[in-house]
Amino acid sequence: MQIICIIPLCELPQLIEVVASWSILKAEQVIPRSKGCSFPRYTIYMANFSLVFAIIIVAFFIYFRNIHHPLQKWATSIAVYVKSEVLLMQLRKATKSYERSLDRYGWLFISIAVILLAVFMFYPIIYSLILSTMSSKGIVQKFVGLGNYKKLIKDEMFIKALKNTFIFLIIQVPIMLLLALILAAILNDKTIKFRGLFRTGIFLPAVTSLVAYTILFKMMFSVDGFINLSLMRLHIIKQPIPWLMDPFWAKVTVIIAMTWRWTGYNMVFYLSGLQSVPDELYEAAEIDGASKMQQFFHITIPMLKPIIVFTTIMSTIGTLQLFDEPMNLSQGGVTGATTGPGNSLLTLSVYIYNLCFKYMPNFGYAATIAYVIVFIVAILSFIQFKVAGDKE
Amino acid sequence: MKKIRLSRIIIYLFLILMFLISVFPFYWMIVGMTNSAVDVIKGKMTFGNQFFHNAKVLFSNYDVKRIFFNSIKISTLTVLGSLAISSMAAYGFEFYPSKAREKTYAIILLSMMVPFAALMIPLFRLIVKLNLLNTHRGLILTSLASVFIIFFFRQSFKSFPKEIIQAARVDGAGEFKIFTSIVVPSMKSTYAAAAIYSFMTSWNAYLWPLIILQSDKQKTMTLLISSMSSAYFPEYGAIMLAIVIATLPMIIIFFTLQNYFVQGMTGSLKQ
Repeated sequence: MQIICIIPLCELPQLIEVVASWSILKAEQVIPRSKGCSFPRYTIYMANFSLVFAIIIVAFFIYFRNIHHPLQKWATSIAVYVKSEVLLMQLRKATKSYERSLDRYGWLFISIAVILLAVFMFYPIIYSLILSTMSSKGIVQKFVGLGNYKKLIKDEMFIKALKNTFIFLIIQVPIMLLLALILAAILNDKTIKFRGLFRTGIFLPAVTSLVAYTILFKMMFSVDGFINLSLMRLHIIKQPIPWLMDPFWAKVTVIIAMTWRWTGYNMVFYLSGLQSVPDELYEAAEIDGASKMQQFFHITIPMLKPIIVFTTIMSTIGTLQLFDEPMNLSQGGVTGATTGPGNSLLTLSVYIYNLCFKYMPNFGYAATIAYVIVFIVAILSFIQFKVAGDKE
Repeated sequence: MKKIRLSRIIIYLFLILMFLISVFPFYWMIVGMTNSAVDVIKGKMTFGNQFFHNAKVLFSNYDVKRIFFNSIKISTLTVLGSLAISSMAAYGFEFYPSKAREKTYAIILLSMMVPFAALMIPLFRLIVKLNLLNTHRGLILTSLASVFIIFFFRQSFKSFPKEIIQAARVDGAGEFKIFTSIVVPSMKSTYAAAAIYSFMTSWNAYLWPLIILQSDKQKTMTLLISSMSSAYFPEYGAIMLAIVIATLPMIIIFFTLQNYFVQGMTGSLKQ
């Protein structure tokens, strides 16, 4: 068996060498004929090919160094490599263009980032996809194909997490974005006094860390806490609301908290978008007798459409990954038995975390749920682009 | 005329209400750090005299100084590294146009859509394999290349005149020299904005540090606050103080570099 494998492997370098030397020969034939003037493009390709081939040969010899090859082979393959390098340099000089070397610099500049992203981003993304076809109990892993995806439908916890996440998404994102839009439209009006102060103040929540503000809200929304106290003093409610004790009110708390944190942030996007809308547009509308309401719906919203799509997608992605808030609002935080009363704050990300680090680790199943989030993000972004009708 | 007046008043009332709601928690957190745990949870809104008690509780039970400097160290190194790497990458993408690189860029941008949860598990295993669990190096290394920052830099490089670079090349300047001595100095505000964005993300990070920094010595401020509040008998006054300490750097940066700050948030949208 091994012999059958080795024979073509031994032959391959020679084959590559032949192709490489042929391309060198072809490229060389063209060079002397056209000194200093423009080259047929294929010479450059040819030289590049020969270089690539030469590198492959050298790599082959280095990798299979246990295969016995006479020293002469090494020498010839390195000679091919040097030859093609020299040829390329000649070409570069002759064309008097930096095209090739510039291209190299291009790769050089992006190399570190690309390598880091490949290792810490693309490799995990792909590995995760493979993992989602496996079931693991601790260290033991076995291939289950689409079994994990089938398991999802019967998993009550997953359904609950999915439902909770979607409730947050459907209720919180529109409220927040609409509020941000209204605020932006108001604060874009130059006749409003103290605009800077209002902007700064409303943006300020976006500075806080997610964990810090969540815990602040947890304290404010405790049963005998500040919110209940104030509401009772103002005679809005008679009984204290069990904010974080009741499944419904716990969700309301998360929605209020998130709206507080992100409205100003989104408002700033709209404000910067509105800067490119000429004031004359509003003035003309004013003269035509359009009310503020009409201006809002017929000028502000259409002009901001691309930014609204952008913020919607960003908020969607953010909400689908919701983790810090439910984790820190729930009793006992990371170590708590449930996430929120009756798991009412259990989101997909929290469930993934639990599957990996709290229960008996089942990385395969957790990866499956992670990919469910990817699919949802992809589908929702696609729909949002379609609805907006933008061809960006 | 009267109608306009009325709507004006409603608008101002609305603005003031939103302003108060936005700012109140900041006031409350400062008040909270001077009150006892019971008063905090009862919603006391005036300053108390428990500040020194809270400080004592916080500083004697937790190594706050160390944790604070952990946070500072991680964020600063992340900012420096990711600015250098990401701006270089953006420069490569923008000023050396080629089809292959454009495709690479498109793939990189697309990966922005993938939520962190999808990489979390393999990334965790990778960190374990590389023996970087429980180290700051692991945390920094994984957050060095940020897609968003590459995107942000590229958007602002688009407005940089290409003729200047061409002229420098004619004068015989090397490619790296052009980048470090012509492009970087004239893009200071972009760097400032990106630095703020990067600092904020790294300072406020929770999920990833929670996973890879498991020992108390390596913790960051966010992890400290989170673990303090999930204790059986949370010391609310001390938590408030910790929250103030964790929020203060961001507020200081916000007020000193406000323009860059907002630019950092929205600058990527300019084109």
